[in-house]
Amino acid sequence: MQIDWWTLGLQTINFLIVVWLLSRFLYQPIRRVIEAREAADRKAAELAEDKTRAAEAARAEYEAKQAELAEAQRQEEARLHAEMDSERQAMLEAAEKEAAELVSEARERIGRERKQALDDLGDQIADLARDLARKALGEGALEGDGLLERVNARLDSLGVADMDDLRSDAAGNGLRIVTATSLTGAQQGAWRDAMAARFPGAEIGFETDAAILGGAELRFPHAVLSFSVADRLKRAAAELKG
Amino acid sequence: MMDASPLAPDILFHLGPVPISRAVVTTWAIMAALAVFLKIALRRPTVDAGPVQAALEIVVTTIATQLREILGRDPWPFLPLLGSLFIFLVLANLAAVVPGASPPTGHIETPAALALIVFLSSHAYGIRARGGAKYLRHYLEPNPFLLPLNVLSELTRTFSLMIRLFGNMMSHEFVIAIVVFLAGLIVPIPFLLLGILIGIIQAYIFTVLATVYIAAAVGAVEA
Repeated sequence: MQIDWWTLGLQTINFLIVVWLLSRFLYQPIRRVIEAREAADRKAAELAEDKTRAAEAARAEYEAKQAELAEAQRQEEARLHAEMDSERQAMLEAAEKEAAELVSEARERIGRERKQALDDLGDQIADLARDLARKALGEGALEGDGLLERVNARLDSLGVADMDDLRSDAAGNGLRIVTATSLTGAQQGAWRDAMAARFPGAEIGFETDAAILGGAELRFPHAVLSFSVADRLKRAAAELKG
Repeated sequence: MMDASPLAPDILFHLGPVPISRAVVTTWAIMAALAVFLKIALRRPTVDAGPVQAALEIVVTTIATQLREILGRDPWPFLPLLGSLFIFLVLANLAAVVPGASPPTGHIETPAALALIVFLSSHAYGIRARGGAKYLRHYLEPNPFLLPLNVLSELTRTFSLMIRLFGNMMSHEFVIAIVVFLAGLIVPIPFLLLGILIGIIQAYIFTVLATVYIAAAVGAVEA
């Protein structure tokens, strides 16, 4: 085997030319493109990173504002609650005060009205008492001859049948004349004469009964003719209730 | 002519005293084709690459990635030599498929030229990366008594680099010639397809070994 040194030298030079050729027309353009692409990628990545940072900052700002708003809302709620509590307390106090005033005023009014009612009632009672006294005392005499005259007039005014009933009643069992205080002998005599004239044959007796208060009662066995104050008061009261 | 050695350079013509062999002419043709193709393909390289530019980018970045894995450092300073070595070897080895052409690597001069360049480049890269004294001192490691063996290994590995490429391509060319001689024109086609594979593999092996030698020189790996 022999080596052609010319060929070896030429091939060495040729390969060095190939190295230059590829470096000039292949590697350098490709490297420039790759570097440009990498630069663009880096720029895009940096841009994306900047946007990410901006988004992160915006998010942090948003969260901070949200927290701030939440805190402000919480404070506002607390303030409103406090304000509402104070207003409620003030309203309660005002209502209690107003209620107390109303109660006091009502009590005062009731007291006044009660006093007025009592006064009116007293006046009415006084009027009633006056009426009762007038009725009890105003219908003729309650003692003495006047009383006897009034009894006689009453008996005389009765009808014949009533008188006959009373006479028959008195004739069998007697007639008792009741007065609040005991009559004198003369008065008893006057009474006996008057009753004997109207109820002949009847046994006439006299009794005292403080309960009749004044006047007199003719007590038959089965009937009573009252000319007493108590009877008048009873009738007056019945009329007042009327 | 029948007595001429098939290993002898096939001289086509002379330029003055300089004999121009077929291997040289084939290399010039490859260089011209490369120049024209790259000039057209990368006339206006853009970031938004077209299909041809994208394919070239894939080739370059793939080679760069392989170099980075072996060198363990930025491959771009080494790419002009080693990338050109791979591309040239692929094209030169595949010249066998062109009718009438023979691969330049099938003759000893071209592998020898490439191995010589690798030998010299590894020292240049080593001295530039580590400094002259430190680079020369590595021949004394791990023991100064190993200096002769270290120097001898430098020579033998360069020689083996040359012979491996030359032997494979030359033998393949002989096999094709013998098969054509014995069986005709159609039968060698599978062998031609096999030759494509062999050519690419040999280009890859030569480039990887050259990269390993240079990596050892710059201190990236142990050779």
